[in-house]
Amino acid sequence: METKLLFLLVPLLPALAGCSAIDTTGSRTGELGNGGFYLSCDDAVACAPLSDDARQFPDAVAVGSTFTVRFEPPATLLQGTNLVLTTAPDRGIVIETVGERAGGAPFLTRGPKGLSGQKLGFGTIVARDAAGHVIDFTNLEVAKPDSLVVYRTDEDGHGLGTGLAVSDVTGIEIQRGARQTYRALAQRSRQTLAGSLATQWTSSDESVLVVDQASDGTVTVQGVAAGQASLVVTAATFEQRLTVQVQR
Amino acid sequence: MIARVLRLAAAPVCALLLAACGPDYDHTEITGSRASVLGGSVDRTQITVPEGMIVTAHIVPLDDEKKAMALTVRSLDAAIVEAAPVIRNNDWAFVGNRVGVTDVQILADDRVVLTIRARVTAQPAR
Repeated sequence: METKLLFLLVPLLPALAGCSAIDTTGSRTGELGNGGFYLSCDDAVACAPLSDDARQFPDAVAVGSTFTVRFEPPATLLQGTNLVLTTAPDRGIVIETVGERAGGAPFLTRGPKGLSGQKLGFGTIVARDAAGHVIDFTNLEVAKPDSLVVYRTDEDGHGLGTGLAVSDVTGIEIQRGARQTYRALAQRSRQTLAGSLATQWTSSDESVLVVDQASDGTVTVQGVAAGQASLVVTAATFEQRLTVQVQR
Repeated sequence: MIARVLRLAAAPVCALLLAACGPDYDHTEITGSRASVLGGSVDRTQITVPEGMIVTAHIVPLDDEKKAMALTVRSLDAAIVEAAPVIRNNDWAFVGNRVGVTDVQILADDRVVLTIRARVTAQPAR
């Protein structure tokens, strides 16, 4: 009898999961449980499938890095009794950092490229409605990196989601004439820190490998001729050197 | 003449007596204090918030008939700690903007009924 019941219920589980108020794919549920915070995947290692959101909301961002966060309330909350979310297209939701209104607590600040990790410590990101009511909030550590890590991305700079850092791999290979894109992120104790960094990329031998274009922590390189070259990325006081083999 | 004066004087006295018969503020209940990852708390005597963090609490002023009164919470220095309403009724967020000390006032039916000392503490040095 119990087994039969189980067979009946198991196919219903995906449907029941679809009833969940908050889609937590790639998000972190806020401290008040009123919605999810999402990080832009351009500021992280990998993207959630079919979205521009990071696969995971990070625990920490690197000091000096920039990043973009959005907040998504569940549909049920929009029918709340005293919630004012009327302004299209973003329903009036404003993302702020603690201290931003008062000019204090500069752990996280706002800049032209989104939010920024400014001071070592814990900052708080707050989602408010149009009336200034707090909808939800989440914490994010601003951490000091100790090295750089490099990941391969697709040609748009989006993380491929392999979780494998190419800087941990020896012998990166690229075909002559082919392009590959990489992203550098900071890390602390081998834990990757989110946030886009201001980086500089150089090739040790431009007759073998050239830097095609670089921006906000990402670089696209092209193999020019067969041979070996080093791709060097620097950010702040850190440097990472990749050995690239260009094949004919 | 005397009767007329007495009648005129009786009206405000009666009004005062009637007003006195209405429910009065009794006490404020503060429950569900929720700390940040770095601690903090809210109770009737003190609010403590680490800098850059938020602590929340459910606040209900009650009259002497045990009915909830209209609530407002205000900080005397929002640059130190901001008192912000949460979208759920009578939940309030205390936002630690800058290290310092100020007072937070609880108003029931637009009257200050409780003043709580609020302290924003520095985060541990890193």
